[in-house]
Amino acid sequence: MNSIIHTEHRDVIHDCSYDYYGQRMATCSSDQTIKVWEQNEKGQWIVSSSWKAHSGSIWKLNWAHPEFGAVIVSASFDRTASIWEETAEQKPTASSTPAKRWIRRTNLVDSRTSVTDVKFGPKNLGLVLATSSSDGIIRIYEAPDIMNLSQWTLQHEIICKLPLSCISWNPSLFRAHPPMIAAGSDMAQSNEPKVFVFEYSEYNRRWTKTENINVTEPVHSIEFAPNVGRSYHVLAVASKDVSIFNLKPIVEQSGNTRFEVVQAAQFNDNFCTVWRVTWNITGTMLVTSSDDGYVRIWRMNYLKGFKCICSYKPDSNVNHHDPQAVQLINSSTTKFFKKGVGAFAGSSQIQQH
Amino acid sequence: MSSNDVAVCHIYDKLSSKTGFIGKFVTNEEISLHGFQPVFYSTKDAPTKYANTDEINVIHVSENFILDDEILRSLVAESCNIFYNLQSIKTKSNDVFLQTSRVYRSAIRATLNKLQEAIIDDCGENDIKKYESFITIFYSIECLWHLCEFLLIDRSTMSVVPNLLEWTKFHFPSPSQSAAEMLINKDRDLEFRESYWETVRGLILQGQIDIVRALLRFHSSSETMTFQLAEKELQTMPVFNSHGGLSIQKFRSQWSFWSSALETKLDSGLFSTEIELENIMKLIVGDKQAWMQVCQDSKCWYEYFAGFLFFTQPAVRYFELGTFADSWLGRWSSTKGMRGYTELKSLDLMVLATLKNDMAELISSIQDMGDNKWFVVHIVDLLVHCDQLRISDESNGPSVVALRECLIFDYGTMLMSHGNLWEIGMDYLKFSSSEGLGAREVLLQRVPIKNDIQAMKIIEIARINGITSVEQEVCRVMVKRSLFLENYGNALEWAIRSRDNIYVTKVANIFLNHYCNTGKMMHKDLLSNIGAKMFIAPRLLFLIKYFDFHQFYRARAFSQAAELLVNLLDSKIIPEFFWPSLLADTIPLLEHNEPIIPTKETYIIMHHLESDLIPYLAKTKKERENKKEQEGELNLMNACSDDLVQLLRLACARNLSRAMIIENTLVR
Repeated sequence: MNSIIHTEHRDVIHDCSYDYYGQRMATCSSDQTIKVWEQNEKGQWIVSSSWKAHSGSIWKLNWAHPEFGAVIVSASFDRTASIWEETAEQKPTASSTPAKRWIRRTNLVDSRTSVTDVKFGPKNLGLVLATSSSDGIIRIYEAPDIMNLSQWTLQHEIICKLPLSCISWNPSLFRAHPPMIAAGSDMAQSNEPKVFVFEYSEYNRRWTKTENINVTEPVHSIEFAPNVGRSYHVLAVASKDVSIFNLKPIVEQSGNTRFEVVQAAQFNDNFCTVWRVTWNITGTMLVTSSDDGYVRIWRMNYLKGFKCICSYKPDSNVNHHDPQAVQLINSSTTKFFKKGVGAFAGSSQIQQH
Repeated sequence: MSSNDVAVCHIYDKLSSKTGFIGKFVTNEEISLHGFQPVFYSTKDAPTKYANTDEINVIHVSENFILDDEILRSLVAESCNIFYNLQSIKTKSNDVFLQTSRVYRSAIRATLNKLQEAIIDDCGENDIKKYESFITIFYSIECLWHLCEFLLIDRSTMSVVPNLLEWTKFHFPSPSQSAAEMLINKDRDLEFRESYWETVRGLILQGQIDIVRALLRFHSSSETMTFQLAEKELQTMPVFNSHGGLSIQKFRSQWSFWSSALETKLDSGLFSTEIELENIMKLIVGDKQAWMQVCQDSKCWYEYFAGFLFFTQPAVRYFELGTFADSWLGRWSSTKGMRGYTELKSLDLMVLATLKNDMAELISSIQDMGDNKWFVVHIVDLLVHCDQLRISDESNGPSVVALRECLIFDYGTMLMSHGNLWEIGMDYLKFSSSEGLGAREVLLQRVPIKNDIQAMKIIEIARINGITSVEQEVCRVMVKRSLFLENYGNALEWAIRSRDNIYVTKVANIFLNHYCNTGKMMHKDLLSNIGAKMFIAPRLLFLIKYFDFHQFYRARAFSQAAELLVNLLDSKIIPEFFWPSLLADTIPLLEHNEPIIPTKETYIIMHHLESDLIPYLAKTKKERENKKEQEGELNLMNACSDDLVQLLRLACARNLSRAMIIENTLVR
């Protein structure tokens, strides 16, 4: 089953972000608008709000955890990141549903250059977010009163020296894991490591760099895997290929934690640059988007190896878009003992007596 | 890791064919795709070259999910129960596994019946099409499961052929049905029916000798020599029975003796007067020509396979079955003019794999049945339980166990990611790997909350499974949602459940602010029933106590009201914004006909008037001046601040004088 949503954005969509439950979608574009979408009873996606949000291209969007309400943060070329909250307008009559409107609660203007990525932190840290920008600084903001989204304080600035392209919080909610952020740089002209991992020390009240991960090619996207009962962290890095790093904490005698960084897997997408990596909720599958235009789904098998189970190719010819082929592929998205598709072209072939 | 053998799905999108796709997960079971332009730190902002050209689309792709259909949902629920029971069984006996397998199968058959009924009830064209495809899927599942049941799960019977015949009889019921019909009607002119000999032959091919004999007796020439001879031969035909006490060798010699005798009779033309009867006898002795003839008419390769074994290899064992199946299939496909297995249907191949005990092939192909892996999960689980799953190219046990865990994990996460079946998914993940246990927590949090009842349900399931973090999270989400819908009573209830000070304070503030602005308390029923839970947060405690004060006042219990009010004033849990309102409430009590508030308490009121109210009023006044044009959080009481202070001072003074006089009089 697949559905096409005509967004009516006037320019390319840069990011498409889903809320915690996967029931609402927000899209942002070079046309400087944000659109928020919901599903109606029939499962069709309907735009519920659309507004001009910035005075530059909007690169990234991110939803806050629903326990903070319906809140989005947007990062733009116009050097700002904005916090948006959905509010109900006064009901015209008691029975009608209130009209919804997104209100800009605050504008984070500390960056002097394009804000390249923005992410809300794990909810156990409260309402925090981190931005990365072209000037090579990670900024961490916090709303001290989670009920008042118009007050944000810039808590920390972490200087990385290289221009940053992407950022990811470690989503672990495990108490023993201190807050952790990884950032990547897409600077092309140097051989320095391009992935940095920072940890927050409660004792010093500051962020310190714990690791440089040795990826020297420009990094376009990074993401920590959701931590489902693991003692170590898993980070996916999109560069000229996809690398999966395991970060295992080692406690040194001095009490500091360091990480043993092991490259757990590395795979190429048809030898193309990889633009984006994203994990699924359980951290068992990875979606990669690469320069050949394909999107591939990789599945972690029980030996922790990765296998591509399916790929999607954009096609300009409408005839190639036959629904049966789509269904065939879809039925194989979560294959384990997969030997290849084709033996079973639709259930209608089975003889019935 | 090559991606050569990976299925590529072409998706039509004009823009993306120029720009390439970017993909993201929507839920665990759905991904979204859209056209994309790489952005670098150095990218300058300008409209891309695609601006205002092609349509900008987002495409959602997901697997076709059939299990949330109304009829299949009950199968999912029932099979979950069976699955659950199987996991908790302690005694591992053959009977238990056989029993479980039969329960599974009867659930499938019940579903098939329901689907048939739904089609008969004429539920609309789309649904009929859908249900027909479901029937195809689940019919195949039943067919394979039945095979697995007597070949793999039931280890008590040594001989395969009777079971195979039974299985064939079930899946090709037409000979038995027409025979039954003929026997009931008992008309003497049976042989004039076109289907008479077809039915008799069909029965022979399914080894139903007794019914054949009964039918033959109804033939008009049943008294003739030929028929009598046939009757005698059929009567004396030895039948292999593993419990019969005969050894296989002994049986084989008996059989060859009998069949060679029959063959001689055939050769000497004893049956030649009745061609149909002769044909049948030829089948019984395994005459090649006769069998090739019937193969021509067969619908699929295994229709007469069991019958062939019955007359040629009645004592065959399971491990020998593959060889016979292969040779039979070779013969069958050559009479059909087929080359190799390529023209076989997928069900045919799966049946073959089962007969050959090629589990790797079977498991790999039953994953593609379009049943969202319902079958593969349950059959693999059952086979692992009764230790009958051997995958030839895997050297030993652990991989089978891992396979089972992985399948259960997939099935469980899939159910949890689909609206109505998440509770069932929880049950499956419980029996998967340790990752499954972790996934349960993550996925439970992400079950979309449709309404209050579902929120309660999620909390309940979380409690049962000891996932403690979920309750507070769900409550907080519900608070936020209720606030958004301006359903404050609900918000307060959920806030109290969450036991989160911040959320409770926030909602209690809304109640107090509402009171300040309108002079009315919201949701009085709720407030009067909170009880001991008010101690969760100081602000809630204050709200409830203040509400109690109102109740006293309305009941004209003025002295109690006054006492409570003074206690509140001294309690240090008063929100700053509430000072004007609270002190205003003292005025009617101070001005009451008969003095209620004694001197000491009056001093307390005066103290708070000077040390709390006046600084607060001064502060708000300043704030208001700072942002005159903006409407701050003004409440009714703030607006008339100066008058309020005057009134209060006057009331205090008057009450003080009255109270002093009375108190001093009483002492003397």
